[in-house]
Amino acid sequence: MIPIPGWLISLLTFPGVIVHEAGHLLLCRKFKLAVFDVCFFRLGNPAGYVVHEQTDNFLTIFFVSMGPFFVNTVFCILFCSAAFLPVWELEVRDPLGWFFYWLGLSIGMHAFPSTEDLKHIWKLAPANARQGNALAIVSFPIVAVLYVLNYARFFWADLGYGIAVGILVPLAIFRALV
Amino acid sequence: MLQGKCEQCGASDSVALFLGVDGKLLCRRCAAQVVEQAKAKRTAVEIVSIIDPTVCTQCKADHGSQELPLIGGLPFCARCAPGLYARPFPPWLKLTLAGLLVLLGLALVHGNRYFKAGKALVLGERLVAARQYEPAIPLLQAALAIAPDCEKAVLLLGKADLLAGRYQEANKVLTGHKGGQFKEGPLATEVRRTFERVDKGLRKAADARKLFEAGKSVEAARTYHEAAALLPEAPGLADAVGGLDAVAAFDQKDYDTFLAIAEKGWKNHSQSSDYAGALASALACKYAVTGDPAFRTRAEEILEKARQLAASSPEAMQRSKEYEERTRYRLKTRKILDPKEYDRQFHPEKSKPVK
Repeated sequence: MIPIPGWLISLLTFPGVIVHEAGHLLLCRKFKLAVFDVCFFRLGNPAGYVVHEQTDNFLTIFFVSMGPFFVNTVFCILFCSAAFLPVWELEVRDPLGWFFYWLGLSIGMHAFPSTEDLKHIWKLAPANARQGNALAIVSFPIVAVLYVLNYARFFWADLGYGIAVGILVPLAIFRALV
Repeated sequence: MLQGKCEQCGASDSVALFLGVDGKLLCRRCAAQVVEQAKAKRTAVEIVSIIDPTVCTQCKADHGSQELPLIGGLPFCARCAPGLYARPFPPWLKLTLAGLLVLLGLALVHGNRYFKAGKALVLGERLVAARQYEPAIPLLQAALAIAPDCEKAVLLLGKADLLAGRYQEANKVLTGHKGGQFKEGPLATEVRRTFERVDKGLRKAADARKLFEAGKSVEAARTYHEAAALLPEAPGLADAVGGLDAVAAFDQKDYDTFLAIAEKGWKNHSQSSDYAGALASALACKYAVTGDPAFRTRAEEILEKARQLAASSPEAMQRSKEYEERTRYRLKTRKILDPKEYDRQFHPEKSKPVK
């Protein structure tokens, strides 16, 4: 395992942090949750945060917590889709292609919700699942996997996720289109 | 502002300056003492900050004894509360996100040409896998036009060229890529083996040509057969082998074999004046050795046919004239002279060195 300081990783992948926190803020506004404090990027731990009001509404907490995961993943897929062919398949020395790939990968690396976000969902999910809330039921495996992956960040699980999403999904899209 | 009284020392002050320690309201000095004692006893203490519900968390405005509504457990005044629900995006963030969308559009436009190249590569690969080498070639060339260093495209194009019998093109493509160096892999191994086989076949073909030029038609035909076995995909090689076999049979005076080969060639190329000429030549040989007029009659018919077929091309007409003259001489005299001997006797100018 290569020990690289967290602040350096954050600095190298700062677009992902900004997109993640912007996603949180956007969804807080959309679901009318009060926002007390926001940091879009800093050289610290965490590299960014949005302190917002809590709620018992499962739909709200699910989207506010998981929204950035989906937003970052989609951006990662789109940027990497545009760049993975020259970078991985065609062996083209294209700096612009590499730039887009870095951008996609940086955003994908910061897709994971924080453990705090996951805790909020995990806390509300059982009661909502008992009431037949399909989203709450579906959220169990998602949250469980993300919880594990979050702890596996030490082993570069976030980078692994970014690469997997940045290669496999564009490859699948490409194969489906051709 | 609410006033608080320390439950330990009795000091009074703003409640916001107090702490809740294990359920007791304490001033900060007493709280610190309790914490120190707990540390010494190695026991845990629960400390909570005390919020003054009459002071706005954001603007710090004191509302006297009026308790403010709590949002997320914190008091906010009526002026600050709406801003919490509509926290603005900073201008730099709006610009950044707009820039990100522009970059995304640029990335998709930029990636379009690579998508086309990738598509051509995949389709070319599929055609190569289906052994449709000729239609795969333009697709792989298109991919390489955009991605000239793509090793996979180079190898696939090299393979398609080799297996379509385009040996020169294959050589150019494969040796032109990093001096012919490729990363090890199944495709690279397959192409290298095919390239080696073709190289061996081409060397054999060159040897056969030399043997033929040295007048060793039998050895040339045998070597050419070996070359043809190594180069099954080479266009026209099977016909060339047939031609050499015919020459070898003629040189060995095996006119039955010569005729059989010529008949087969004419059957397969019934629009070629050269094949017609070869058949007429073989029939004339048979007439020369047997005297059977049926061979002569058919030879003349085929010669006529050859002349008609050659009429469309000046080069074919020139060749037709040459073998027609020899064949007619053979039919007239029943003497079989090989082209060299014929020219020596009747066209000595052809064997003179050019000054």
